[in-house]
Amino acid sequence: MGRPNMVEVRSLNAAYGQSKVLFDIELNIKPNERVAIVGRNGAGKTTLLKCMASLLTPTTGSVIYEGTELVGKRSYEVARMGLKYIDQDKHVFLDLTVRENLELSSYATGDYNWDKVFKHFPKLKILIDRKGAFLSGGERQMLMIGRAILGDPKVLLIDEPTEGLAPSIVDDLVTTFHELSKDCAILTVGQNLSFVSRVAERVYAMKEGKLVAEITDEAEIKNNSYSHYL
Amino acid sequence: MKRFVNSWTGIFIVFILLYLLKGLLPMAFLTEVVIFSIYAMGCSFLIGRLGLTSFGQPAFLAFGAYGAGIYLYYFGTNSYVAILVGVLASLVINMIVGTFLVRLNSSYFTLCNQAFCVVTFFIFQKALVKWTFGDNGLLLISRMDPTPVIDLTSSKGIYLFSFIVAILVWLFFNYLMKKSVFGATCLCVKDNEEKLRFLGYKTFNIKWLAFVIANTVAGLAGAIYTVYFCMVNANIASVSSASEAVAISMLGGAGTLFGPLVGSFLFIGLKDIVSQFISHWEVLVGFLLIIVMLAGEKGIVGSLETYLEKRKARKKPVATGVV
Repeated sequence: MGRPNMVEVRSLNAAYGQSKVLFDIELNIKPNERVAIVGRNGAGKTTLLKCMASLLTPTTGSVIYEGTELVGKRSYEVARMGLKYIDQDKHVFLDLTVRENLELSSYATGDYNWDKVFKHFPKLKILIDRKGAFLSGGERQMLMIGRAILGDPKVLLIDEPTEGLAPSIVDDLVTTFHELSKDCAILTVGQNLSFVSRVAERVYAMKEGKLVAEITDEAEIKNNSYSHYL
Repeated sequence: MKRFVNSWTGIFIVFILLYLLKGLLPMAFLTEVVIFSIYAMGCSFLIGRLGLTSFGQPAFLAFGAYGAGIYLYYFGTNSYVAILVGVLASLVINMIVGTFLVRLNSSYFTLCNQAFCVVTFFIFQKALVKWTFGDNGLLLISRMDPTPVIDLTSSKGIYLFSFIVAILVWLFFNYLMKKSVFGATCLCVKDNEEKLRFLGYKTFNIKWLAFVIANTVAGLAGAIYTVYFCMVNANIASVSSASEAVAISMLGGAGTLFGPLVGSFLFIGLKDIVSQFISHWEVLVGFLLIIVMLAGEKGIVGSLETYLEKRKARKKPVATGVV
């Protein structure tokens, strides 16, 4: 555990207008680590991820990524730095085919090595000429992750990856997350504790905009014995 | 590839069709249709590909028109150079104006474009009246010399020239819309701009470039328009004609390659034919627009494309893709 932190969130506060959503968040992610944030609806999980991806500007606090302050940067700059955000609505570009969706990502990153995408998601190779509008939820999730891993990001921020997916696809995602973490760190948020127990090495419990506990014990994570924090 | 072949075939068919129509329909009508289709192409691209509806198109048409007009009135007699000056004038203005306007989201973009159109009209009508002669305009009929290769001072020459320009613009937009990453990013801006930023794209640059391209094409149409009519006055930037380009785009099918041509054909046709019987011909265009929109919001060409795609899909079922 002597590895330096890749991402550090310090004293982060965020609000939507007058309503404060995040309170003094302290969080860190190490290289190739799989971290999860769990909490009920409205706990502030997505807001935290959006602040980290520069989609929302926090009221105070900082997000340090490899020694660089991300607060104040634009979301496309953060993405180019290697911190990719995959949001929960499973929205791919509907009028574009799988190939065109991947091409867009390749063009932005200069990475045309699609083999690594097909290694994780072989099904995308079969669906290569199908338009985004005709993909299922699971296929869209694959495409979104596939798009994100082009350009070799160092951190993936994945919001509710299992929402609306069939159990068999969730099982596949567990394997994929383990494989992906060989190349990058993953921070995922969600409410699916069974998924989290199989994926995460470290878990943050979030409640009403605060991180109330950090669970590092493997057994505790496996048994979901931290659920009383939520 | 299939789409690419189809569009090349389409352009070829249109080329033949318009050439044949030359013998059946008045040359003036066809020339106006072709110039209007160039004008509407940019607008159609903005609406169909970026989701940006602009009611300021007459302003961008006017910059090209006045660029050409001022050159011919004050500086030279070559119509080719005049068109080039018109395009360059339009390009420079669009690059400056675009920097401000594309920062706005769709509704405000629409309104500010219209406001810009009003401002442009008064600039040409009042502020620069000493040089533009306001509503009287610049009369250029005796100020253009015959041009080599294609004589732009003859009606046949200007028709042929507009036609070649239209073909080139079609080919350019065909590449832009179907073969380029830029075209795909434009579509993604319309679909979900934020998602495109997640991938590392600075969407401002995409919108700015699209704005400049689309409106410079309008400026090109304006410059040809000036050479064709041998005059330009402030009414070209009139806000009363602000909806024309939008109506043509929507009627034909915004974002489609041939929508602007079909829309222009109908619009100019209705204007020329119906106005002989009814003074308020716009009423008919309005009703037609409502009917076409109610039929599927995709315009004539867009609806036709959807119908053909569905027919093809019925004939050949799509593979399920299950592993």
